[in-house]
Amino acid sequence: MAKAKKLTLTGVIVIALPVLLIGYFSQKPEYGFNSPNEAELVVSFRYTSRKTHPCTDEELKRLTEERKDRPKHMRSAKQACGSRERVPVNILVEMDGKTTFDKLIHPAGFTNDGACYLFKRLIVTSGEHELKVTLSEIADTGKSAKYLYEGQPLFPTARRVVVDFNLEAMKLRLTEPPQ
Amino acid sequence: MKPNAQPKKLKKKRRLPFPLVTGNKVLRWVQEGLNRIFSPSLNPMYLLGSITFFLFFILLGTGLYLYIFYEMTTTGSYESVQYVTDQKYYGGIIRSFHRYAADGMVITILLHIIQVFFSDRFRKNRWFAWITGLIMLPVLWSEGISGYFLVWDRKGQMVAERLAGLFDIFTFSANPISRNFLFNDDVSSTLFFVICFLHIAVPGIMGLMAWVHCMRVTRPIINPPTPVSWSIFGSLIILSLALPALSLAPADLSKIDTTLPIDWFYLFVFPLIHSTGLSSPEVWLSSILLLGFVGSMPWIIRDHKETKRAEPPVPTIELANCTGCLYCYDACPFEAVGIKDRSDDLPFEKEVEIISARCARCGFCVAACAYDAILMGKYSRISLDAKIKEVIVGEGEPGKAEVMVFVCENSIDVESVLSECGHRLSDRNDIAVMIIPCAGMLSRATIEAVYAQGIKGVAVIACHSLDCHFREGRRRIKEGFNLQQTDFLIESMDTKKLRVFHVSPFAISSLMRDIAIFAEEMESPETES
Repeated sequence: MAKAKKLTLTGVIVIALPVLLIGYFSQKPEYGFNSPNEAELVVSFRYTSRKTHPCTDEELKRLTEERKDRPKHMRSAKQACGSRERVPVNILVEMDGKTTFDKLIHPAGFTNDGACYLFKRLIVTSGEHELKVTLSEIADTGKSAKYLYEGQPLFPTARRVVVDFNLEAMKLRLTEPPQ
Repeated sequence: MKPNAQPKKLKKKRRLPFPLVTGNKVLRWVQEGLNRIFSPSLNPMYLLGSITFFLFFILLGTGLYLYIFYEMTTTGSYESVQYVTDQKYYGGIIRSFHRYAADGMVITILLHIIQVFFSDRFRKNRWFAWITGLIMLPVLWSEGISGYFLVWDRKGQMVAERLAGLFDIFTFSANPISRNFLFNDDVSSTLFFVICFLHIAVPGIMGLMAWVHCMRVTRPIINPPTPVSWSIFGSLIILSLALPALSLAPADLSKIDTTLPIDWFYLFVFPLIHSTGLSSPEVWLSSILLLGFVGSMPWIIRDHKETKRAEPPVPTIELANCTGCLYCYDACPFEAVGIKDRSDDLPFEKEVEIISARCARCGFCVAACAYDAILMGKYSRISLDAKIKEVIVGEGEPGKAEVMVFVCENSIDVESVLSECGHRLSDRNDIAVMIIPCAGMLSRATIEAVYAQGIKGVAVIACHSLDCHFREGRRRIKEGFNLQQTDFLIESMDTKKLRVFHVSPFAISSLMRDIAIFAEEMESPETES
């Protein structure tokens, strides 16, 4: 009933066929994610906007008075002063006079009390472009421009140019790829 | 008597659910083609699970070697991989072997899924293996992906950046993961430690899941036959030598992906997402929906009403007859027989119970029980004997049969070999036919009952050994006809009058010829004497 367990040459070849498939499809066909004449602009930041209702001297004084009997680590009135919620920000990217990205970003957290974050890739054709990036806090009365980057950077082929917010200098900063 | 000429059509005893019919035909055609090349016992299509295990073990071994030299830092990762590839003993071959074995696993797993699906082995009692197997798919994928990340070349960079983009939505409006890949200096060595840890921990999880996957299977086949293992091993080694897996240029976050060589077995998702333009939420939602849809297949695909009616019941235990010998426990291929302490006053230590959720209704336990302690409706020993008598006498047939053929309903398309009344082979009034769910449910006692009816020969038509719908039909046939525990009940069985045919579903005409020859032999006066 049972046949001898012996593999024929054809059998070995048939087993080798999927192995050939493995060899091919583990490398090929190649896939082009971007065209050869494209570059990338990444706009990214972490920015803490102002509170919706700012802290006033009267409130700070009152809170300090109220908390003076608390344990030392619970006395700080500065954090509790003003609203917890922060205002959203708007990011506007204009390239060669045209708006390429415009987004309202709300602060993180359930009560919108965190920082505003963004990571956005924008594909551009390589070469020089006029670039204007505006980061604005949204006030009750509407947009009020706060931080601006304006320039004419070079976007080299297949390279990445980054615009981010420098927390130390408190300004938008452009980083060009190394040569 | 002439062999059957033109078989008459009769309705099938077991019908596959509609969505599986065409796929099942194609699958059987492929399996049959490979049977001719390999022989059924070496057919890789029947061994996909065990080949996957074999590749998994290769991955563990080669992975361990590569880990010894791997440096878990941003700058050191690429260099250490290069060092192993270029300089360290057979590192280049081992690295390639590691990658190609991982790719091979994807192929065998996909084929395994297709085979299980179209051979209707994913529903009913097998839903658990289907679900646990599907859960392993994303785990396997994450394992492959993390392997590419660790090399930290341009491909690893592509994986890291695009994967981070996919996971950004889970940070909600907080700091996106992608911000960790803004500049080269931003990438932390800790990340490599974490990814490397995951790449090592996940195989452990996969091993555990594989154990769970096989939990409801008795005696799972873990090792493929040696010739198959060596062929796969050798082919992968040759491939590793001919086409070594090499790193691309080191990752540089100031550069963007242009054209990259893609490992389509694991990295296919990134070109797919890129070309379809799907957003991260859409990708996650569609993946969950797809997995959910495939996972719910065991409950979406249902039997025909007719098939459901004809299905045997779950066996029940007649405790008064049970001696706690546990032969049924040993016979069950799906761990559906449980053992517990005796609940009555009989002087035996143990008794058994049938776990209905795991039961495939194969009847192996019924056949293994020498004491008629397991009942399964019309397939209980007594009912089966009565049915055999009815078939042999042949109500509505011209005369009594002289040869009896048991046909496993999963082995061949039975509709083409039966007479109008369904008790005889078409155009052969001397050959009685009885269709049973699996040839493994036959025991010596049943065969003896056939002989007792004056039958001159018994033929059993069964599936190929590794293609049994109930997994261990062949083992049951071998043990059922030679079982030690029944020896004291049945002194001797004339095995010359018994023949088992392990057949291909496409070989009906040759099978009919063989059966006709067998019948001639059995009916000749020489054999009778």
